[in-house]
Amino acid sequence: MAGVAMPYLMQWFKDELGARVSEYSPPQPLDLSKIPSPVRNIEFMEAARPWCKVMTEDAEDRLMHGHGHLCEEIFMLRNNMYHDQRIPDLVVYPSSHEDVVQLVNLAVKYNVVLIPMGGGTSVSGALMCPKEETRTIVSLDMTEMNRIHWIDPENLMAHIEAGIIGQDLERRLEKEGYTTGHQPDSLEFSSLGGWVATRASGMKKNLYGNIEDMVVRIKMVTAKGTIEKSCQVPRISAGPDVHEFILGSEGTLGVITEVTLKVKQLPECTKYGSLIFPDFEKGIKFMQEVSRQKIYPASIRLMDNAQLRFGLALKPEKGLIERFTDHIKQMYITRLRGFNPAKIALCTAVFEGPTDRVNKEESDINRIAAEFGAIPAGEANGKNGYLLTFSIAYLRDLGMNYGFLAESFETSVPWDRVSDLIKNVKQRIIQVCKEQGIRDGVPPYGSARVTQCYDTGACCYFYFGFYAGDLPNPLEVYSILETSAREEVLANGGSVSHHHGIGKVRAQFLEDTISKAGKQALIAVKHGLDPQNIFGSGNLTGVVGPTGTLKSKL
Amino acid sequence: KAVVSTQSTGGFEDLMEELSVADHEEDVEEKEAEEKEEEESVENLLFHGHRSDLKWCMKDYRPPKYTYVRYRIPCAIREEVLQSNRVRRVISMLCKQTGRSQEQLDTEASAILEEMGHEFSMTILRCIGGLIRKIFKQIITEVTVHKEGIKELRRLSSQKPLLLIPTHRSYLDFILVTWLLYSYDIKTPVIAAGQDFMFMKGVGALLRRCGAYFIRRSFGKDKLYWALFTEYTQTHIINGDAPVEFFIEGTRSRTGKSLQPKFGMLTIALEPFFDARVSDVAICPITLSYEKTVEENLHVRELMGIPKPKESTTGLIKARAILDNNYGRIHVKAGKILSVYDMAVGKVDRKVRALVPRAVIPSVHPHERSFVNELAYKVLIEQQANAVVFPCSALAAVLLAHIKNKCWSVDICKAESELMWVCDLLIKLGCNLIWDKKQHSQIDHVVHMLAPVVSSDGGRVYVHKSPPTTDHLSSSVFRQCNSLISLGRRRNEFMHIVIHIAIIAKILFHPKSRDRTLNQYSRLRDILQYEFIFMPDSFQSDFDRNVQKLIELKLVSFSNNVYKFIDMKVKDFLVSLIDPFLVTYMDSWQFCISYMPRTLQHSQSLKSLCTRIQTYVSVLYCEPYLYGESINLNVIENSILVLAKLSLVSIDKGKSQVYCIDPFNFSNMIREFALTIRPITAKL
Repeated sequence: MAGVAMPYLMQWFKDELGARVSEYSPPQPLDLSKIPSPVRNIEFMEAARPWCKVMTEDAEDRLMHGHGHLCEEIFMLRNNMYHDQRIPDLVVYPSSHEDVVQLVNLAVKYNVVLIPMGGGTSVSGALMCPKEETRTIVSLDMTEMNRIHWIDPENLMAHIEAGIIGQDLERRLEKEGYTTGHQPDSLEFSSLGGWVATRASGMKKNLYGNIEDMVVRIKMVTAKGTIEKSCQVPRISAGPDVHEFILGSEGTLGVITEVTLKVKQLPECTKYGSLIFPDFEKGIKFMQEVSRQKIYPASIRLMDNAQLRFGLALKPEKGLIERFTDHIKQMYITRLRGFNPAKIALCTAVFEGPTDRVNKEESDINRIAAEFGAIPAGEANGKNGYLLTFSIAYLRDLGMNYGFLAESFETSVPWDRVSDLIKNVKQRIIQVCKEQGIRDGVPPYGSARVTQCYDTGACCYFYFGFYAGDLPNPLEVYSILETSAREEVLANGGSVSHHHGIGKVRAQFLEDTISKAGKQALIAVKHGLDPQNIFGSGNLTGVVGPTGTLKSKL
Repeated sequence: KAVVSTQSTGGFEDLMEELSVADHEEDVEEKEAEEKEEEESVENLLFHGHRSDLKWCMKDYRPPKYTYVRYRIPCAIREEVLQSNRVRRVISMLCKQTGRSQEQLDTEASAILEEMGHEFSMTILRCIGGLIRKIFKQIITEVTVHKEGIKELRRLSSQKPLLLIPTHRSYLDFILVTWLLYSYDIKTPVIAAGQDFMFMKGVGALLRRCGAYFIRRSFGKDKLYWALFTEYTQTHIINGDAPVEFFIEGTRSRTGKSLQPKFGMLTIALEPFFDARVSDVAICPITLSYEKTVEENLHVRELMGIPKPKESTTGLIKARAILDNNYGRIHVKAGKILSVYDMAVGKVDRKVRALVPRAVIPSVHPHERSFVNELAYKVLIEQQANAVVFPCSALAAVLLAHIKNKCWSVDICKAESELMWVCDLLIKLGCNLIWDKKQHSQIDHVVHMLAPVVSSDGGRVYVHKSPPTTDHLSSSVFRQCNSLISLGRRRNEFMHIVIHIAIIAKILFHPKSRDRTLNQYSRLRDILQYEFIFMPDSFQSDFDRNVQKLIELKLVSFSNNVYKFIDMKVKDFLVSLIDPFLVTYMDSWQFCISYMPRTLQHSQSLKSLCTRIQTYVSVLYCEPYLYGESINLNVIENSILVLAKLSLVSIDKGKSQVYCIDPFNFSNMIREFALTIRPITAKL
């Protein structure tokens, strides 16, 4: 994507969001002088040094390990607001499972807190440090553990260290002719361990499954020893699956060090496709029908009108002929087919696999789409649709330069509630923005897409953004907005999260979601595995166990 | 039909004539009017926009649309209702239960929808609008509109589905709200109306085209009807085709006071929110205050037990005498718009419903029920708070006080000074009382507004006894009470403002401690709960607020934990307002304790019981009568209903079996009640 000019983007910013070029406000230069000095635990540092590749107390390193990619975190970072925040006191980089086992033992011995970190792309506040923590907080950076131990062509599995970053993993597997097929939006930066710890979901889950469908075996080092299965088998009946405690544990129980994943041979053929629907409702009905007939292309998504226009703004500069053909196409859609450009929705699909199967899937999809009044819109639009996904984080940074705050969130919901949920959540965002006095004439941006289809429901993904340049309390407004949006999601029968996880920002909704007894069960497991609260990030259930040096000794 | 059309052509010619005259002057006048408008917060609807009625009905009308609306024609709406989950499910269930075929039920459902549905047509609405405006200009002095609220309504109409809940005093309510919305470029509503109109030839069809849809008065267990009606109402809210208008009081109030709220329609209207079909619903309580209602005389007769004539087109034509009268002023105010979302925070958990699939017909949860209940009272109280009181209501109270002292005529100067005193008091108590500044002689105008019951000859103000009629009441009773009830209705128009302090004034006949005052206040409030609107469970705060007000106005003193009413004149006046109700309750109960059946076998219907009480009371007193309320069937009925609420009497759902279940506690309560209202009972 880098190096391609996007001439339409700035215009889109101006038209849809009312951005003013004059209001350019670049991030403040990082001011490290105000970063709080580290809480040292000399004994731990001395004892741990042999077990890590790198150990550092450098202020910038510590800061970079103390945040994820929440809008709030980025905003604070850009405005040097970390001076009164708790950040890790020490960063260590282990290089093997053995290292981690030793480090965890030492942490237990010297009573320090460990917060494991992979790619640092969390959008749940999982990397924020609990304010009340008085012990030394050690960030356990796993990215040096990036080896692929083996690939098993017979059983189609690979054994991989958890610190590996998504794009490296794919690149290296590709060389051998394989792929995991896991493709989250954060693929560029997120790590395997992070995927497991947050129950991640990839774009192509229809073909390859979500992370929980891919893992065969996991090793997790806890304060009470390593949890692992003694066999790597396709299925096992041995009581409740212990993997289920690990998947989505968000670093509260231990560190994931190694994972055995399913792999697939690289697909023979990959094809993009796109369809234009007269409106979003029809598109949803189509998606539901596709799921009912179980024709699942690797990925199939539906963007609403606002997101469609956003996507178009990312198109690269075009030649004269291209522009001419575009015009013809547009004429066809709006004049001949009578589609309203302000209502159309775009469905994009990726087909992967053997050529004949890809072709069959494509024709099936087109057949069903025709029943719902859609027009095929070509491969380029399909590809372009996915571009937005990967660039959204960069675009947010660009938006922030002009005073915008923006965030994405997601949920899963049964089919019968998809369209109402999307409508109501967008409406709620607009309403709250109005109540919070967001500048007149700059409408808040809210858009949605259906990104995953399941038999019984779908995953919906939202982008929202608003102009905060003239608000006295942008973060407060942002937080009110996010909470009301989430409440609306829940009231509409949506889940607290489809794949981003709970972390800290959604912890308030956990008990309501899984019941009091359910939460109690999670807390009991935490108590049992980690009575000293070594893995004290406070994610998921909130801080469970001691947070101070004195208390823990008692 | 024929008559209607001649009327409209007649109107049309007039309009054309007027148009040619008015054409030139118009622009100048409009500009002036605009300048004026900006200064004032109210404006006259009769002359809103174009001066010419014809131009007005052809005006540029582009109301904002609800963001998520899909345009549908009326028959498409009916078709969608027929195909909806709810209706499909009920039909298939009925197939199994009754053995009727699906086709049969489908046909029945279509027929019901035909009978129910509106046939909204903008053209017809415009035509009728012009005609109505013409008529109104003839019979109404002015229709003032509070602009603030209506602007807010317009702003919200694109953002949220709207519910309009007007007060219901007159058939004109329908017309006025639609007219108002049309004038201010807001999408005109669909209106849930009783079926009475439907049978009026021509009129029913016209109303349908103006957006009315008709509901049977009773359809108890008809599941298909219930499903169709629910779905039909809800689809308008979900899709936001138009605001949905209904009356929370269920029917026109004949008594001048607000009726107790009905919850059924409100529950149906809020279900799309509970079900998360919409993210919010905006409720706009609208208050229409009439200086004099068109139906006044009919209502008074109904209150005495003469049944209302069936609505019919011929009846309407006969009633054209209405056009010869002047009905004074009307004030319309759209109240503070309530966001259901905001009010439901912490009270309604929509997640509970999310576990029921859309394909299953949801049931209303208890927490939703109590939320609707509370909301209904909020709406009513907001409506009351926005009501305007006209001086004629105050004069009615003055005259009633004189009649109690057996004077049926009053010196005009005395009447005027007393009127001023009452008006001042009401304004002090927070009442929005408006004088007609255009009138030269206020008292003459006010007297005129009470005509034909009241008249003046320059020197004195007379209250007339009505001409005799044949009825179950002796004609002399009727003659007096007709006027008394009529004046009572007028007085009731401001009762919501004084009710709390009138109760307190009654209790503070002697100075009392705080605890005893509060205790008796809550007791009397319980007894009068069907008579007036009290927010449930808020007697403590209502009491504190009103006592505070009395102390601030230096009407009541508070020392050594004892309340004392200082201003005797005000106290007597307040007591005279509430006494008629208390005395009637006492009389009614005294009859009940002796003659009310005490077993189910001997039970009788509520209606016949009330008539018996009415007859008993009418012979109990010798002439002249003190209070019209004594033979007011509405008050008598309320006095029985409250007994059921207090578990002393059993009333079944159809109100056909009423009998006393707890005579012991009942007689105790009467004794206690007699002590509370002692000064009066002593007199009897």
